[in-house]
Amino acid sequence: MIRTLRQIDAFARNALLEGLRNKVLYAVLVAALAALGAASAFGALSLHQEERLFNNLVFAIGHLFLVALAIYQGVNALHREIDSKTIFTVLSKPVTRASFLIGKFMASVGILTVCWALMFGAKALTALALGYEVGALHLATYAGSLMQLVLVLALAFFFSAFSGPLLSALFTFGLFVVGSLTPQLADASRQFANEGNPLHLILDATLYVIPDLEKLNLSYELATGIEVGWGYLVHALLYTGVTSGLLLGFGYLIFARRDFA
Amino acid sequence: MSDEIVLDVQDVAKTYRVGFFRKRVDAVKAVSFQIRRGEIFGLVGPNGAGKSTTIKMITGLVRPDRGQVRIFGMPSTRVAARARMGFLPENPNLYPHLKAGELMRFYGGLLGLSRKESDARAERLLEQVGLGHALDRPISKFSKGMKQRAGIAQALLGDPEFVVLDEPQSGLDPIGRREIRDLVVDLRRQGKTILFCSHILPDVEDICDRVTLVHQGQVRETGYIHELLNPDVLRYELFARRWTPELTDTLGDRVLQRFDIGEVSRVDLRGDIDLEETLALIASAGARVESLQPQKQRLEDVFIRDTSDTTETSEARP
Ligand SMILES: Nc1ncnc2c1ncn2[C@@H]1O[C@H](COP(=O)(O)OP(=O)(O)OP(=O)(O)O)[C@@H](O)[C@H]1O
Ligand SMILES: [Mg+2]
Repeated sequence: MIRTLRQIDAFARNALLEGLRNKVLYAVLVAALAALGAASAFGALSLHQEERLFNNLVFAIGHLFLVALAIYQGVNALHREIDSKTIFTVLSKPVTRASFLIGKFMASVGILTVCWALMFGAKALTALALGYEVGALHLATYAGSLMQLVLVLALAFFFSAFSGPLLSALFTFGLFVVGSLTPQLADASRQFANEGNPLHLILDATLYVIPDLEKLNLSYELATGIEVGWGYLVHALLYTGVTSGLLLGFGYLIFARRDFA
Repeated sequence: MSDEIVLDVQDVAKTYRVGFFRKRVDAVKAVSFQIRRGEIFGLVGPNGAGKSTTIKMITGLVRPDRGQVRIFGMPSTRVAARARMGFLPENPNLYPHLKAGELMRFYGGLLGLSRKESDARAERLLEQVGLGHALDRPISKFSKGMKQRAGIAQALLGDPEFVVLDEPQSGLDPIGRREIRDLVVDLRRQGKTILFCSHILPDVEDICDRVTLVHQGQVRETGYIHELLNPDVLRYELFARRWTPELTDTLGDRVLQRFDIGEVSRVDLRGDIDLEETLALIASAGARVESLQPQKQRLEDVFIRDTSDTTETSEARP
């Protein structure tokens, strides 16, 4: 038990040092903050609507950058170890493949959380400087974003367990897009069902398997000022936990059988 | 050496699938051997023979298609087995973003060591492999030989009873090679068991108790070094001054070949000659012998004999 904890700690520290010394991560963060700045300026230019625009635009941009980072981090976390063969020195130690996967995942969540905190911390500070309010609803929206990031990471890990880096990134991105369109897909399915088109069965099945990322997107609530309660947050947290757990679990089943040659 | 079996490789086989058409590559066809406690066991064979693949099956990185591997009686997929094993992969790649000290701390964490214990061991080991001065340097700035040394340090960090070294001397200068050789002998003195895979046959011959020679994914020979090597003298290598062509004629078929290098002649004599009689003949002809070396069979000779059925590598063929 203590060994497993120390292993996870080792993975986390290693990943953190890797992130701190990785120029790509900095570049993306700097670009994101620059975009954020530009968006704030843009928001300030539009009359009356500026606060709403600021919130929506900056949140959307910040979140997209974070999702891109999550895909990058999630795919690289496993593939860099496999491609550079550092995994030989890790899996030949008393490390189970499960703790390897979990350790790497936790470490990636840690890194993403730091980026997320920087991003939305910057946004909140800018908002305060501009005299806008930063309330519970804002924080709930950011929390939703973080939960989405965790799900995207879990997707990237799942795909990385059995496919190459490029495909993993593409699949993850694809599912991120589809998962963010679940209400639209549900609409389409209803439409098809009314027309008696059997396509709705496929859509329903798809909706059943893909993670529902839209559920975690609170930007609409933020824009319209609809309050979200604790019940929602607990539900969202459970959903994120269970879905990521399942994804990692399935990923593990494949990963455990892999050869590292 | 006791009779306890540390490693038992039972008839393992591995076929890789490569490329779009999943072409078969029979990397290992049938390999079996056992290593007893306290042994230094050599694993030799030409490039592509399947040594590293066998080692990956031993360390649990690759699952054998057939057969099984047991370490201390346990399958290598068990954490408890790997906790007692240290492994240096071939041309090890380590995390380039970490400094040597951080790298060891990372591996210490994987081994479940406390920070203090890990640091203490790391300092001692890095010193031992000659990296004591490089604790604060990032691995990305390490030379090839330094990476190899760091790889050895991480293999020994867990104080393993069984150490698997896949070409530990590759990339090292002659001094480094000697140091590793001495280190391996020293490890055995501490009671460890070592699997030593190497292309440096003189070292294998010197330090290993037994060797297995693999070729094209199969074991060609396993045995004690002294059993594998023919103890007879194959030929004598002699250097002499004032050698004359007449003397060569006198000695007849005892002479295999002769070269004149300025004043000095190098003469190769057959191994089964009557040495005293021959030397007397040489002396009476007025030649002066400066050195005489009996040449026995080397591991290299066995290696070349056993693997000479292919010219290039022993690449597995479909
Ligand atoms: N990951 C892999 N995928 C496909 N084929 C592989 C892989 N690794 C090794 N092989 C093939 O398996 C065979 C054995 O390779 P292996 O690395 O075990 O040889 P080796 O004895 O260690 O050689 P060397 O002395 O060059 O290190 C070779 O034909 C090699 O091309
Ligand atoms: Mg090899």
